[in-house]
Amino acid sequence: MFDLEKAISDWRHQMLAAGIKSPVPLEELEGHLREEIEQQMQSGLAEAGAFRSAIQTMGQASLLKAEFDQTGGLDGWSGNNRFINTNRILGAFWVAQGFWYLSDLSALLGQVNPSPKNEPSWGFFIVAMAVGAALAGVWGGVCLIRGTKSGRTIISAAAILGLSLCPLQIPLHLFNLNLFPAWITIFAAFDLITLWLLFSPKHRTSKAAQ
Amino acid sequence: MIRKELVAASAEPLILSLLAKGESYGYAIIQEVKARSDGKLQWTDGMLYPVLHRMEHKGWIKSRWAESETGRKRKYYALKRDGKTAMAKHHEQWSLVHSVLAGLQKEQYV
Repeated sequence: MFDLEKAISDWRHQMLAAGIKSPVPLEELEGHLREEIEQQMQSGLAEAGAFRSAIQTMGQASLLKAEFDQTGGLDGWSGNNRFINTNRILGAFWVAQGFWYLSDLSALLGQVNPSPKNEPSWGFFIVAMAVGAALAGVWGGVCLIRGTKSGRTIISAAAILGLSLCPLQIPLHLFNLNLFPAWITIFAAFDLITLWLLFSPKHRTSKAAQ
Repeated sequence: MIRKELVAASAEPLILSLLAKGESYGYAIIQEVKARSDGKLQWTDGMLYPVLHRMEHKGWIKSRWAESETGRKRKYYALKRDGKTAMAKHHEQWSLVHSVLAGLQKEQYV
């Protein structure tokens, strides 16, 4: 006696064995399979025949996996495309760093401005730029997590801006503003790591495949 | 039957154009393409989903899960602004190919 649910469960196992592990495409493929089975049965086929016909139209698991890999990986946090997961982890770090940075910088803005003549000081402009970089970091981080194309561009720009602000601490120290604490070097290292991850040859290959 | 290379090349513009009419889901997209081509454009059904996911990664379309009238969960896709731009480019390119082919065909019968 043919058991449709068991047959679908076996088909799921075949897909899982082929590497389609992420829940999103598998759920979607199963939904499609069930609709096709229903359609075939409405046109007169028995359950077993409808199932066999439906899995043929779905295509082989290995070919599907290869296609999903070419599209930039399977969706979801458990997806096996490490570049997408790297981007998401990087995005989460940028969001966290952005908020942390913003909380410090908003306090500094009040300290460095105004100058005695009530005109914005150099320190104010530099801190304002840093606020811009932090905001861009938060926004870019969200875009990276969501996998939006603009995320890479925004984070690259924020990392370059962040790096370019690092040398400015020297004149700021000369003016005795003492804007940047020692952990600026950690942020500089983080900016460099980000740029390396986003522009490493392996990552570029992955983007080209998309 | 249309050759598989041409079927593959036409997938993105067809999906974009179908989604321009309103949001839809994988099974419905395939059925509509089959119906509109009198069954001559045959996709391997499963292969639609990598294409949809790629288009989502590109930011052309967005998706949401919702329940159908039968209670089944379906992933619905809708066109985004970048998708409309991509669709316009696809239409332009396919129109160019079509006009070149039509022109050449016309010359053969003159």
